[in-house]
Amino acid sequence: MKNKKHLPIIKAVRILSGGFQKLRPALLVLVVLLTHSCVEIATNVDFPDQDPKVVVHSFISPVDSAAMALLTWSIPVQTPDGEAQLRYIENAVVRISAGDGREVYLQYDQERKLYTASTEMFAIEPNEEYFLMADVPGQPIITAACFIPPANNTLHFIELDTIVEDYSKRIVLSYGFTDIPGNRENFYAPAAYREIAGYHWQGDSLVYKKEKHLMHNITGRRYFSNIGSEGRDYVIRAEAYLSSWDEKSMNVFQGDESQDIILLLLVTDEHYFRYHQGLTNYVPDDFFSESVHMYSNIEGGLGVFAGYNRTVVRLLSE
Amino acid sequence: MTRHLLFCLLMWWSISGAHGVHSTEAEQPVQRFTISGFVYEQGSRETLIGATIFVPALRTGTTTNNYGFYSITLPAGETEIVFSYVGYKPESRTFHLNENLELDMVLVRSIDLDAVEITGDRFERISSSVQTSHIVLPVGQIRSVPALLGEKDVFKAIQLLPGVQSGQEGTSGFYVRGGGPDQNLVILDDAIVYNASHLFGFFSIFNGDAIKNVQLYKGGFPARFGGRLSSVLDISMKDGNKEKFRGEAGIGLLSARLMLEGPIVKEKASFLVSGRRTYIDALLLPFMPKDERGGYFFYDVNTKLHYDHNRKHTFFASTYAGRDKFYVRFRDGINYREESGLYWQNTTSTLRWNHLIHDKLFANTSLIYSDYTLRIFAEELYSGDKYSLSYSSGIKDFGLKYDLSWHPNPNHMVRAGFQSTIHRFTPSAFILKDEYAGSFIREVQTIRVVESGMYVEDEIRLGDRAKIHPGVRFSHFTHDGEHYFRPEPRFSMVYMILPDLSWKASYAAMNQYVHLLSTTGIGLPTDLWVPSTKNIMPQSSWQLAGGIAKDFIGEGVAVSLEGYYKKSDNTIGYREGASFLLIDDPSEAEAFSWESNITSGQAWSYGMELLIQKQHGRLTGWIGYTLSRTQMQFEEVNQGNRFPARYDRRHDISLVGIYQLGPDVTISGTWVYATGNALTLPIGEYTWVTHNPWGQSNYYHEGQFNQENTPFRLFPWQYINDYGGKNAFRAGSYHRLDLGIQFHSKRTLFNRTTERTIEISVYNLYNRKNPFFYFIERNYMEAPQLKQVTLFPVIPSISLSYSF
Repeated sequence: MKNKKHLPIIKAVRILSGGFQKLRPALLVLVVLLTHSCVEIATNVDFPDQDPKVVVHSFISPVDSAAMALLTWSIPVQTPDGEAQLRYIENAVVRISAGDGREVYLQYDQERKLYTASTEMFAIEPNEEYFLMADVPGQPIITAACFIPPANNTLHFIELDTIVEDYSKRIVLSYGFTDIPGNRENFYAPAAYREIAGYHWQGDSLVYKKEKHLMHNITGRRYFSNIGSEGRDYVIRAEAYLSSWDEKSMNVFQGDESQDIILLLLVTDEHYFRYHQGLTNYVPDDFFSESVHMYSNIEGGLGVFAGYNRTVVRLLSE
Repeated sequence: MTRHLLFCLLMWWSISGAHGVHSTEAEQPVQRFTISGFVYEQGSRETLIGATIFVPALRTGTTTNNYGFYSITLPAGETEIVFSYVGYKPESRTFHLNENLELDMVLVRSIDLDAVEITGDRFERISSSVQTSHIVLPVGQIRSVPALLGEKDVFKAIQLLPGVQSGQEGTSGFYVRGGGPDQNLVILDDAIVYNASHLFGFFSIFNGDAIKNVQLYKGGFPARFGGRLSSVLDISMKDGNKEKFRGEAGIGLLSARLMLEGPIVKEKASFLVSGRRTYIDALLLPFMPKDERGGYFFYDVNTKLHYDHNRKHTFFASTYAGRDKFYVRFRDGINYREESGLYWQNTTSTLRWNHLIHDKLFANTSLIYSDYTLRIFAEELYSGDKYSLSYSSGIKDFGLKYDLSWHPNPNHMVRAGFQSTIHRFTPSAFILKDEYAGSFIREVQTIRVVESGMYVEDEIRLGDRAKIHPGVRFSHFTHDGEHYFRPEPRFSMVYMILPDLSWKASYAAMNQYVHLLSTTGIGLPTDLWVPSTKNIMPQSSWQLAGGIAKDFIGEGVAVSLEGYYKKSDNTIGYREGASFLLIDDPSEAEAFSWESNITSGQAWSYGMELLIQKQHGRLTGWIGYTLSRTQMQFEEVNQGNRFPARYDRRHDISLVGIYQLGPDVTISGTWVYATGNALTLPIGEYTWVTHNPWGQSNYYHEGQFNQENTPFRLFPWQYINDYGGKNAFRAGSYHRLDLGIQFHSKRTLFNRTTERTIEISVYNLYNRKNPFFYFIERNYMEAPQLKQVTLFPVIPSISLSYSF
């Protein structure tokens, strides 16, 4: 292993956070002295009435077999007791069109509660812009646009280390790719997965199944852009513990089939990047921060309509 | 537009300057002589900044500069000069002027304020000053205003002035005419202070014992200042008593302080040392187990050395050092020990040389150092092996500043100079040492930039009624081969409608090359200073201000009414979803740029400010009222629509009164009212959905999770807030009354007069439950409720101070 620094970082964070637990007496006195605050219902302010809004989620790609859109209702703050729950929109007209004039209407799938159209009928092409329209009765027309970026085929494996520690064993994986050349801003979401095959309890019966377990990214952010690092080579490191309690809780029987590693590189459009980066950084009710407005490119509603492309490299377990 | 303004300004300047000289020489071919010197305080020989030198016969005058120096050139003959300064007895000198004269003046502090004679000629009048949007806050008033927990605070007093708004309740950050806290240039003896707060922003770092003068510029900025858009807070430290040794000690609920000053060589060299420290950690220590100890403290220390080599050369060395620290230590037997914590610290140092080149030309040279560091650390010692980790960020400045002031005749006062600063930013520095694993990692990201400025300005008297103050600053910034060079024209004028009533106007263009990244807006130590780059343009603004000023001479009252309009461009904002708690991961700082998290936009701020100020007599204080509006617009925020700034407040009122009940008792009170802040609150929520690139997910359907082939991953009990418009919610109004009473008692001890002051004060006397923040509380399937959190109810405090 070339770089062993990440374990100590985790260790340091543990020491720091554990240490501050021990500060409680001092902090308690400080808090009592300085902030004997009170919480009560706000009565001296006006809060506006709101109607539910249409929430659209749709991620389209040339590598998918279908274009799909999920439409739900938002829940206004003053929704009466008992009605504050997830509600799907089932009676909308949803259309996706391309810049060249092609279009397709998505059909509602009652089983999966979403709108779908096969990409065999309506091809999604890289370097093209696509437009979404949703007409929900009683609501203004919803519109959005996205861009399908090209795939990045430079994704490659670099190194895999297995580290045995006192009570655990973990693997640390390095892989990389090169930024797509050109003047355009590129957005990336790399990830590494372990594909675990085995028998799982589903109800009362055991079912053979493959699951993809996301490895922990120890390099930095999951989503990032190439601003300031145009044309550079990126190296991503990820790790996974192999014998932790979490692993066993997955109901994977020991001695099951091999565990392949799958490298994934999504090249996304800006909408995808900003929405998911927003989710990653989302901190609701953080009293000392400016509120985080979740990114949306949906005109007349909430959610996101985004494009992406995908490159996959599979490393066999041997 | 800037070019045209600059051209007009320079033309006007050259024409008016030439006119002034020629007409004086043509019409008054009399001999002229220069009177120059310093104005001191009696008893300490502390120089007085902004003291007035007035010539009644000619109705002309000047003021002392930041070093107490003045120079005035007058026609030969019988001359009377009056020296005056707020809180001091005026002094008059009459003589026959037939040669250049060095005249130093010592003013006596007025004990009995009623005895101070107030006449139209003896105090500088606000109506005759060419400077707009400028407030001098007497340090005596700062020390008399009641404060939270009895801690006297320059910033808290500044927040009570019109045009200045506080941030969150209790915090010391301030917002001037719609600008953010990072747009305030805070200078302590020429050194920039980057994070001027203790205890996460609840107290400022400025210890009132060591401060001599506080001046705030909100607009009409003189060309000698640059680098920030919204305000200049120029704070000067005391030089130290050159006549006798004295000291002051005090203790309050939060901290204890001590100040000592005195001559090293009488009337030639002096020193000042002033320190303050919180003591709650020391009080708690006995109650903690020996093996587990932790706490918090802050301290600050000001020092100053002053040396008068001779009349022409004076040297100063001043230093500020302050630190806040949270720490925890844990020990388990003799083999295991750990310590972790965080601290942030400011250090500033200034070496200054005052050079009186001749009686009309005064020069100051300053070498400046400023350092702000945040450090998070953890250390572990196990069986002799040490593991240590350190993460830090900060900014370090090395600067050179040279200022000249030239007083050629009573019609001109010319200032020129330059300043160059090397900023060394450290967005992140990560050091790890693990003896057990045998690893050592050191990753330090530094950015080095140079910021420079040259300026020239002239205060020109045009006849008896008008004064203009044109100037220009050329600012330059370079980073990684990228150069920004920008002229910044400045102009102020005053026209006397009546001897005590004037009309004023000003224009100022400003640029800001360093920016503060913060999602909190309250000045936490984790906020990060970063430079302009090729992607992040410098912030810029221009501001027009104008109004009237009136002096009520007999009453010692000054009134100013001023309007302003400010437009800012390339104002820094945060992209939706950005969080600077996550930027620049210590181990991969170079790979993921903070630049991609920020965006830039525009801001507009306009309003009107009224200030009624009484600085003389038993009753002093002020009434301030601000009517204002501040809006912002970012292409990538709030869907590109304009929105109100968080601290956009329509009305802001402050009443400050200090009454000298007698020689032994001082009563003070403040009442503030402000429109509620513009906040962003959720108006609804929707289900958390992410993309699953494998098209296989936990899909919630019909009340249970299914494994379905969809690209959506739903988290049905996790919600995203729908905030509606940015800052569209208006918090409840804020108001509060504070009262304080000081009891002074004097006695003589060992031939020395000592004074004891006991202060009892009450913060938020009528226990107003002001909103600190709001949140939506939602219980499962129940209607959400809007909740308000109040931080500071009524808080009494007591403090004791003793001067000797």
